[in-house]
Amino acid sequence: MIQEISDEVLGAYIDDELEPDEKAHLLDRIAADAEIRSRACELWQLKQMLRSAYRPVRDKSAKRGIFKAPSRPFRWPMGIAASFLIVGGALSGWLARESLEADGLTPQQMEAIRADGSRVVLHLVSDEPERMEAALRMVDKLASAKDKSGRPIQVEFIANGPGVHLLRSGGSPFAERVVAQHNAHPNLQILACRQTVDRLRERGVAVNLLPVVREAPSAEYLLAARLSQGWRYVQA
Amino acid sequence: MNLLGFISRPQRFEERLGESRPRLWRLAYSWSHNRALSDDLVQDTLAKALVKHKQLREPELLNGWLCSIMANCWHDHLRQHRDTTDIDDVPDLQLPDGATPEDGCQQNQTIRRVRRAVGELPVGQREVITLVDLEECSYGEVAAILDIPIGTVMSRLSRARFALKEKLREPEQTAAICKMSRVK
Repeated sequence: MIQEISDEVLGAYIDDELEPDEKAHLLDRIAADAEIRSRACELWQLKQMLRSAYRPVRDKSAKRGIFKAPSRPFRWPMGIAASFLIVGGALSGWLARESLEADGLTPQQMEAIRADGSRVVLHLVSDEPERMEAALRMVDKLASAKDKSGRPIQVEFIANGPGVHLLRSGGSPFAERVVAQHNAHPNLQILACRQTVDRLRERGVAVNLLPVVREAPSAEYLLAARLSQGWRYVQA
Repeated sequence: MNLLGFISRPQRFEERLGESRPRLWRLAYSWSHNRALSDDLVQDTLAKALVKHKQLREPELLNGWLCSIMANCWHDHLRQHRDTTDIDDVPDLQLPDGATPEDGCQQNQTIRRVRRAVGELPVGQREVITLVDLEECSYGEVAAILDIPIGTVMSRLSRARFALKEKLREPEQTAAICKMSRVK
Protein backbone atom coordinates (compact mmCIF):
# COMPACT_ATOMS: atom_id res chain seq x y z
CA MET A 1 0.00 0.00 0.00
CA ILE A 2 1.41 3.38 -0.97
CA GLN A 3 1.45 5.81 1.91
CA GLU A 4 -0.06 9.26 1.50
CA ILE A 5 2.47 12.08 1.51
CA SER A 6 1.32 14.82 3.86
CA ASP A 7 1.88 18.53 3.33
CA GLU A 8 3.95 18.49 6.53
CA VAL A 9 6.37 16.01 4.98
CA LEU A 10 6.49 17.93 1.69
CA GLY A 11 7.11 21.11 3.67
CA ALA A 12 9.93 19.43 5.57
CA TYR A 13 11.41 18.43 2.22
CA ILE A 14 11.46 21.96 0.83
CA ASP A 15 12.85 23.19 4.16
CA ASP A 16 15.60 20.58 3.94
CA GLU A 17 14.54 19.01 7.22
CA LEU A 18 14.24 15.39 6.12
CA GLU A 19 16.76 12.69 6.93
CA PRO A 20 18.68 11.38 3.89
CA ASP A 21 16.69 8.15 3.66
CA GLU A 22 13.38 9.98 4.04
CA LYS A 23 14.47 12.42 1.38
CA ALA A 24 15.50 9.65 -1.00
CA HIS A 25 12.17 7.92 -0.52
CA LEU A 26 10.27 11.14 -1.11
CA LEU A 27 12.28 11.97 -4.21
CA ASP A 28 11.31 8.60 -5.64
CA ARG A 29 7.67 9.37 -4.99
CA ILE A 30 8.03 12.86 -6.45
CA ALA A 31 9.65 11.47 -9.56
CA ALA A 32 6.83 8.96 -10.03
CA ASP A 33 3.81 11.04 -9.14
CA ALA A 34 2.87 14.26 -10.92
CA GLU A 35 0.36 15.18 -8.23
CA ILE A 36 2.98 15.05 -5.45
CA ARG A 37 5.38 16.93 -7.71
CA SER A 38 2.80 19.62 -8.26
CA ARG A 39 2.14 19.96 -4.52
CA ALA A 40 5.86 20.19 -3.76
CA CYS A 41 6.27 22.77 -6.50
CA GLU A 42 3.42 24.79 -5.09
CA LEU A 43 4.90 24.78 -1.58
CA TRP A 44 8.27 25.78 -2.95
CA GLN A 45 6.68 28.63 -4.88
CA LEU A 46 4.86 29.77 -1.78
CA LYS A 47 8.11 29.83 0.16
CA GLN A 48 9.82 31.89 -2.55
CA MET A 49 6.86 34.22 -2.70
CA LEU A 50 7.01 34.91 1.02
CA ARG A 51 10.75 35.44 0.91
CA SER A 52 10.39 37.88 -1.92
CA ALA A 53 7.64 39.83 -0.18
CA TYR A 54 9.89 40.66 2.76
CA ARG A 55 13.16 41.92 1.45
CA PRO A 56 15.35 43.44 4.18
CA VAL A 57 13.16 46.48 4.54
CA ARG A 58 14.83 49.85 4.59
CA ASP A 59 15.40 50.69 8.22
CA LYS A 60 15.09 54.45 8.54
CA SER A 61 16.00 54.36 12.21
CA ALA A 62 19.38 52.81 11.55
CA LYS A 63 21.07 56.17 11.11
CA ARG A 64 19.84 57.51 14.39
CA GLY A 65 20.10 54.29 16.32
CA ILE A 66 22.85 53.09 18.56
CA PHE A 67 24.37 51.01 15.82
CA LYS A 68 25.64 51.86 12.41
CA ALA A 69 23.64 50.89 9.38
CA PRO A 70 25.29 48.28 7.15
CA SER A 71 27.95 49.89 5.00
CA ARG A 72 26.57 48.47 1.75
CA PRO A 73 23.14 49.78 0.75
CA PHE A 74 20.71 47.01 -0.03
CA ARG A 75 19.87 46.50 -3.66
CA TRP A 76 17.15 44.17 -4.62
CA PRO A 77 18.77 41.45 -6.71
CA MET A 78 17.22 41.16 -10.13
CA GLY A 79 16.54 37.49 -9.60
CA ILE A 80 14.54 38.09 -6.46
CA ALA A 81 12.56 40.79 -8.16
CA ALA A 82 11.89 38.50 -11.06
CA SER A 83 10.81 35.71 -8.79
CA PHE A 84 7.73 37.79 -8.11
CA LEU A 85 6.79 37.32 -11.69
CA ILE A 86 7.57 33.66 -11.65
CA VAL A 87 6.06 32.61 -8.40
CA GLY A 88 3.22 35.08 -8.49
CA GLY A 89 2.38 34.11 -12.00
CA ALA A 90 3.00 30.46 -11.44
CA LEU A 91 0.75 30.22 -8.45
CA SER A 92 -2.10 32.14 -9.95
CA GLY A 93 -1.65 30.33 -13.24
CA TRP A 94 -1.68 27.03 -11.50
CA LEU A 95 -4.91 27.98 -9.88
CA ALA A 96 -6.38 29.20 -13.11
CA ARG A 97 -5.77 26.03 -15.03
CA GLU A 98 -9.38 24.99 -14.93
CA SER A 99 -10.38 28.02 -16.92
CA LEU A 100 -7.97 27.43 -19.78
CA GLU A 101 -9.48 27.51 -23.20
CA ALA A 102 -8.74 24.80 -25.71
CA ASP A 103 -6.28 26.87 -27.70
CA GLY A 104 -4.99 28.70 -24.66
CA LEU A 105 -5.57 32.30 -25.74
CA THR A 106 -8.77 34.19 -26.32
CA PRO A 107 -9.29 36.39 -29.40
CA GLN A 108 -9.21 39.46 -27.14
CA GLN A 109 -5.87 38.46 -25.72
CA MET A 110 -4.46 37.83 -29.18
CA GLU A 111 -5.80 41.18 -30.34
CA ALA A 112 -4.08 42.91 -27.42
CA ILE A 113 -0.81 41.26 -28.34
CA ARG A 114 -1.13 42.20 -32.01
CA ALA A 115 -2.18 45.74 -31.23
CA ASP A 116 1.02 46.85 -29.60
CA GLY A 117 3.32 44.79 -31.82
CA SER A 118 4.35 42.86 -28.79
CA ARG A 119 7.12 40.53 -28.19
CA VAL A 120 5.87 37.73 -26.00
CA VAL A 121 7.59 35.52 -23.49
CA LEU A 122 5.65 32.32 -22.83
CA HIS A 123 6.46 30.55 -19.58
CA LEU A 124 5.89 26.89 -18.68
CA VAL A 125 6.44 25.48 -15.18
CA SER A 126 4.48 22.25 -15.37
CA ASP A 127 5.15 18.80 -16.79
CA GLU A 128 1.54 17.74 -16.79
CA PRO A 129 0.80 16.46 -20.31
CA GLU A 130 -2.24 18.65 -20.81
CA ARG A 131 -0.30 21.73 -19.72
CA MET A 132 2.59 20.91 -22.01
CA GLU A 133 0.25 20.32 -24.91
CA ALA A 134 -1.59 23.56 -24.17
CA ALA A 135 1.77 25.35 -24.12
CA LEU A 136 2.63 23.99 -27.56
CA ARG A 137 -0.73 25.11 -28.93
CA MET A 138 -0.06 28.57 -27.55
CA VAL A 139 3.43 28.62 -28.99
CA ASP A 140 2.05 27.75 -32.39
CA LYS A 141 -0.68 30.34 -32.19
CA LEU A 142 1.61 33.11 -31.02
CA ALA A 143 4.44 32.33 -33.40
CA SER A 144 2.02 32.17 -36.33
CA ALA A 145 0.46 35.53 -35.49
CA LYS A 146 1.43 38.82 -37.04
CA ASP A 147 1.23 42.27 -35.59
CA LYS A 148 -0.74 45.08 -37.22
CA SER A 149 2.17 45.85 -39.51
CA GLY A 150 2.15 42.30 -40.77
CA ARG A 151 5.36 41.32 -39.04
CA PRO A 152 5.59 38.07 -37.12
CA ILE A 153 5.39 38.41 -33.36
CA GLN A 154 8.65 37.61 -31.64
CA VAL A 155 8.14 34.73 -29.24
CA GLU A 156 10.38 33.29 -26.58
CA PHE A 157 9.23 30.12 -24.91
CA ILE A 158 10.99 29.36 -21.62
CA ALA A 159 10.48 26.33 -19.42
CA ASN A 160 11.74 25.92 -15.90
CA GLY A 161 11.08 23.58 -12.99
CA PRO A 162 9.09 20.54 -14.06
CA GLY A 163 8.31 22.30 -17.35
CA VAL A 164 11.82 21.51 -18.62
CA HIS A 165 10.59 17.96 -19.15
CA LEU A 166 8.87 19.10 -22.34
CA LEU A 167 12.21 20.03 -23.85
CA ARG A 168 14.16 16.91 -22.93
CA SER A 169 15.56 14.63 -25.56
CA GLY A 170 14.52 11.07 -24.89
CA GLY A 171 11.97 12.11 -22.27
CA SER A 172 9.57 14.61 -23.75
CA PRO A 173 6.29 13.15 -24.98
CA PHE A 174 6.09 15.98 -27.50
CA ALA A 175 9.69 16.11 -28.73
CA GLU A 176 8.80 15.97 -32.42
CA ARG A 177 6.28 18.77 -32.08
CA VAL A 178 8.78 20.96 -30.28
CA VAL A 179 11.34 20.48 -33.05
CA ALA A 180 8.71 20.96 -35.76
CA GLN A 181 7.53 24.21 -34.23
CA HIS A 182 11.04 25.51 -33.95
CA ASN A 183 11.70 24.69 -37.58
CA ALA A 184 8.42 26.21 -38.72
CA HIS A 185 8.87 29.55 -36.93
CA PRO A 186 12.09 31.52 -37.35
CA ASN A 187 10.63 34.09 -34.92
CA LEU A 188 10.51 31.52 -32.10
CA GLN A 189 13.22 30.88 -29.52
CA ILE A 190 12.88 27.87 -27.26
CA LEU A 191 14.77 28.07 -23.99
CA ALA A 192 15.29 25.95 -20.91
CA CYS A 193 16.31 27.28 -17.51
CA ARG A 194 19.90 26.24 -16.89
CA GLN A 195 19.42 26.41 -13.12
CA THR A 196 16.73 23.76 -13.34
CA VAL A 197 18.87 21.62 -15.61
CA ASP A 198 21.85 21.93 -13.28
CA ARG A 199 19.73 21.05 -10.26
CA LEU A 200 18.41 17.95 -11.97
CA ARG A 201 21.91 16.89 -12.95
CA GLU A 202 23.11 17.41 -9.38
CA ARG A 203 20.46 14.93 -8.33
CA GLY A 204 21.81 12.42 -10.81
CA VAL A 205 19.11 12.91 -13.44
CA ALA A 206 20.54 12.69 -16.97
CA VAL A 207 19.17 15.72 -18.78
CA ASN A 208 19.70 16.07 -22.52
CA LEU A 209 17.86 18.89 -24.18
CA LEU A 210 16.48 18.75 -27.69
CA PRO A 211 18.94 20.21 -30.21
CA VAL A 212 16.63 23.15 -30.97
CA VAL A 213 16.59 24.23 -27.33
CA ARG A 214 18.94 26.89 -26.01
CA GLU A 215 19.75 27.36 -22.35
CA ALA A 216 19.00 30.60 -20.52
CA PRO A 217 21.07 31.20 -17.36
CA SER A 218 17.85 31.23 -15.39
CA ALA A 219 14.16 31.78 -16.05
CA GLU A 220 14.12 34.49 -13.40
CA TYR A 221 16.77 36.59 -15.10
CA LEU A 222 15.28 36.12 -18.53
CA LEU A 223 11.86 37.23 -17.35
CA ALA A 224 13.33 40.16 -15.43
CA ALA A 225 15.15 41.28 -18.56
CA ARG A 226 12.09 40.89 -20.74
CA LEU A 227 9.98 42.75 -18.20
CA SER A 228 12.27 45.73 -18.36
CA GLN A 229 12.19 45.59 -22.16
CA GLY A 230 8.40 45.71 -22.32
CA TRP A 231 7.63 42.17 -23.42
CA ARG A 232 4.27 40.64 -22.68
CA TYR A 233 4.16 37.72 -20.32
CA VAL A 234 1.96 34.70 -20.92
CA GLN A 235 1.88 31.71 -18.68
CA ALA A 236 1.12 28.36 -20.22
CA MET B 1 42.03 37.06 27.74
CA ASN B 2 44.75 39.50 26.71
CA LEU B 3 44.25 43.24 26.73
CA LEU B 4 43.83 43.49 22.95
CA GLY B 5 41.19 40.81 22.96
CA PHE B 6 39.42 42.42 25.86
CA ILE B 7 39.28 45.74 24.05
CA SER B 8 38.40 44.43 20.60
CA ARG B 9 35.75 41.87 21.54
CA PRO B 10 32.94 44.27 22.45
CA GLN B 11 33.63 46.23 19.28
CA ARG B 12 33.31 43.14 17.11
CA PHE B 13 30.19 42.11 18.94
CA GLU B 14 28.62 45.50 18.38
CA GLU B 15 29.52 45.42 14.72
CA ARG B 16 27.91 42.04 14.38
CA LEU B 17 24.82 43.34 16.09
CA GLY B 18 24.76 46.24 13.65
CA GLU B 19 25.01 43.85 10.73
CA SER B 20 22.10 41.84 12.12
CA ARG B 21 19.89 44.86 12.28
CA PRO B 22 18.31 44.77 8.79
CA ARG B 23 17.39 41.12 9.16
CA LEU B 24 15.96 41.69 12.60
CA TRP B 25 13.98 44.61 11.29
CA ARG B 26 12.58 42.51 8.47
CA LEU B 27 11.57 39.80 10.92
CA ALA B 28 10.01 42.33 13.29
CA TYR B 29 8.13 43.86 10.40
CA SER B 30 6.90 40.48 9.17
CA TRP B 31 5.48 39.85 12.63
CA SER B 32 4.04 43.28 13.35
CA HIS B 33 3.54 44.95 9.94
CA ASN B 34 4.16 48.19 11.75
CA ARG B 35 7.25 50.31 11.12
CA ALA B 36 7.37 52.12 14.44
CA LEU B 37 6.84 48.94 16.39
CA SER B 38 9.52 47.21 14.33
CA ASP B 39 11.92 50.01 15.21
CA ASP B 40 11.09 49.57 18.88
CA LEU B 41 11.41 45.81 18.80
CA VAL B 42 14.81 45.97 17.14
CA GLN B 43 16.04 48.64 19.53
CA ASP B 44 14.86 46.66 22.54
CA THR B 45 16.43 43.50 21.15
CA LEU B 46 19.79 45.11 20.48
CA ALA B 47 19.82 46.86 23.82
CA LYS B 48 19.10 43.61 25.64
CA ALA B 49 21.68 41.80 23.55
CA LEU B 50 24.30 44.34 24.58
CA VAL B 51 23.47 43.90 28.24
CA LYS B 52 23.33 40.11 28.03
CA HIS B 53 26.15 39.56 25.56
CA LYS B 54 28.08 37.39 28.02
CA GLN B 55 25.27 34.84 27.84
CA LEU B 56 26.16 34.13 24.22
CA ARG B 57 28.73 31.38 24.57
CA GLU B 58 28.98 30.45 20.90
CA PRO B 59 29.25 33.43 18.54
CA GLU B 60 27.90 31.45 15.59
CA LEU B 61 24.57 31.17 17.40
CA LEU B 62 24.17 34.94 17.44
CA ASN B 63 21.30 35.05 14.96
CA GLY B 64 19.14 32.52 16.76
CA TRP B 65 19.95 34.16 20.08
CA LEU B 66 18.86 37.56 18.76
CA CYS B 67 15.67 36.08 17.30
CA SER B 68 14.94 34.54 20.67
CA ILE B 69 15.39 37.88 22.43
CA MET B 70 13.22 39.61 19.89
CA ALA B 71 10.52 36.94 20.19
CA ASN B 72 10.43 37.66 23.92
CA CYS B 73 10.20 41.42 23.28
CA TRP B 74 7.39 40.79 20.78
CA HIS B 75 5.48 38.56 23.17
CA ASP B 76 5.89 41.15 25.92
CA HIS B 77 4.43 43.73 23.57
CA LEU B 78 1.49 41.47 22.69
CA ARG B 79 0.79 40.93 26.35
CA GLN B 80 0.88 44.64 27.09
CA HIS B 81 -0.92 45.97 24.05
CA ARG B 82 -3.71 45.05 21.80
CA ASP B 83 -2.17 43.62 18.63
CA THR B 84 -2.64 46.35 16.07
CA THR B 85 -1.58 45.42 12.61
CA ASP B 86 -1.30 47.95 9.87
CA ILE B 87 -1.06 45.61 6.95
CA ASP B 88 -1.27 48.46 4.49
CA ASP B 89 1.93 49.92 5.83
CA VAL B 90 3.95 48.79 2.84
CA PRO B 91 7.26 50.60 2.52
CA ASP B 92 8.44 52.20 -0.67
CA LEU B 93 9.74 49.64 -3.04
CA GLN B 94 13.03 49.56 -4.79
CA LEU B 95 12.87 48.25 -8.32
CA PRO B 96 15.43 46.04 -9.99
CA ASP B 97 17.95 47.72 -12.21
CA GLY B 98 16.39 48.96 -15.41
CA ALA B 99 12.81 48.47 -14.26
CA THR B 100 10.31 51.28 -14.52
CA PRO B 101 7.68 52.23 -11.95
CA GLU B 102 5.12 50.56 -14.19
CA ASP B 103 7.11 47.35 -14.04
CA GLY B 104 6.96 47.58 -10.29
CA CYS B 105 3.20 47.73 -10.31
CA GLN B 106 2.71 44.00 -10.41
CA GLN B 107 5.48 43.39 -7.88
CA ASN B 108 3.89 45.92 -5.58
CA GLN B 109 0.56 44.20 -5.79
CA THR B 110 2.07 40.80 -5.16
CA ILE B 111 3.94 42.11 -2.14
CA ARG B 112 0.78 43.61 -0.74
CA ARG B 113 -1.17 40.43 -1.26
CA VAL B 114 1.44 38.24 0.37
CA ARG B 115 1.96 40.60 3.29
CA ARG B 116 -1.75 40.95 3.79
CA ALA B 117 -2.12 37.18 3.83
CA VAL B 118 0.76 36.80 6.30
CA GLY B 119 -0.69 39.57 8.46
CA GLU B 120 -3.96 37.68 8.68
CA LEU B 121 -2.31 34.54 10.04
CA PRO B 122 -2.55 33.82 13.77
CA VAL B 123 0.52 35.18 15.55
CA GLY B 124 1.96 31.76 16.33
CA GLN B 125 1.76 30.64 12.72
CA ARG B 126 3.13 33.95 11.49
CA GLU B 127 6.16 33.66 13.76
CA VAL B 128 6.96 30.13 12.68
CA ILE B 129 6.61 30.63 8.94
CA THR B 130 8.68 33.81 8.93
CA LEU B 131 11.44 32.26 11.02
CA VAL B 132 11.60 29.27 8.68
CA ASP B 133 11.19 31.05 5.35
CA LEU B 134 12.81 34.42 6.00
CA GLU B 135 15.41 33.65 8.61
CA GLU B 136 16.03 30.15 7.24
CA CYS B 137 15.97 28.73 10.74
CA SER B 138 15.78 24.98 11.15
CA TYR B 139 12.74 23.55 12.87
CA GLY B 140 14.91 22.89 15.92
CA GLU B 141 16.08 26.48 16.02
CA VAL B 142 12.52 27.76 15.74
CA ALA B 143 11.47 25.48 18.57
CA ALA B 144 14.26 26.90 20.74
CA ILE B 145 13.57 30.52 19.79
CA LEU B 146 9.86 30.29 20.51
CA ASP B 147 10.19 27.73 23.30
CA ILE B 148 7.71 25.31 21.76
CA PRO B 149 8.02 21.62 20.76
CA ILE B 150 9.24 20.78 17.25
CA GLY B 151 5.94 19.05 16.55
CA THR B 152 4.17 22.33 17.22
CA VAL B 153 6.57 24.09 14.86
CA MET B 154 5.70 21.63 12.10
CA SER B 155 1.98 21.76 12.64
CA ARG B 156 1.90 25.56 12.81
CA LEU B 157 4.02 25.77 9.70
CA SER B 158 1.79 23.39 7.81
CA ARG B 159 -1.34 25.26 8.86
CA ALA B 160 0.25 28.58 7.96
CA ARG B 161 1.17 27.39 4.49
CA PHE B 162 -2.25 25.93 3.91
CA ALA B 163 -3.87 29.19 5.01
CA LEU B 164 -1.57 31.25 2.79
CA LYS B 165 -2.35 29.10 -0.22
CA GLU B 166 -6.05 29.57 0.40
CA LYS B 167 -5.72 33.31 0.88
CA LEU B 168 -3.61 33.77 -2.24
CA ARG B 169 -6.03 31.67 -4.25
CA GLU B 170 -8.67 34.33 -3.80
CA PRO B 171 -8.98 36.64 -6.79
CA GLU B 172 -7.50 40.08 -6.44
CA GLN B 173 -9.92 42.83 -5.59
CA THR B 174 -8.51 45.34 -7.98
CA ALA B 175 -6.95 44.84 -11.35
CA ALA B 176 -3.63 46.47 -12.10
CA ILE B 177 -2.62 48.05 -15.32
CA CYS B 178 0.97 47.12 -15.91
CA LYS B 179 3.27 47.43 -18.82
CA MET B 180 4.14 43.78 -18.70
CA SER B 181 0.64 42.51 -18.36
CA ARG B 182 -0.40 38.94 -17.99
CA VAL B 183 -2.72 38.16 -20.82
CA LYS B 184 -3.91 35.00 -19.21
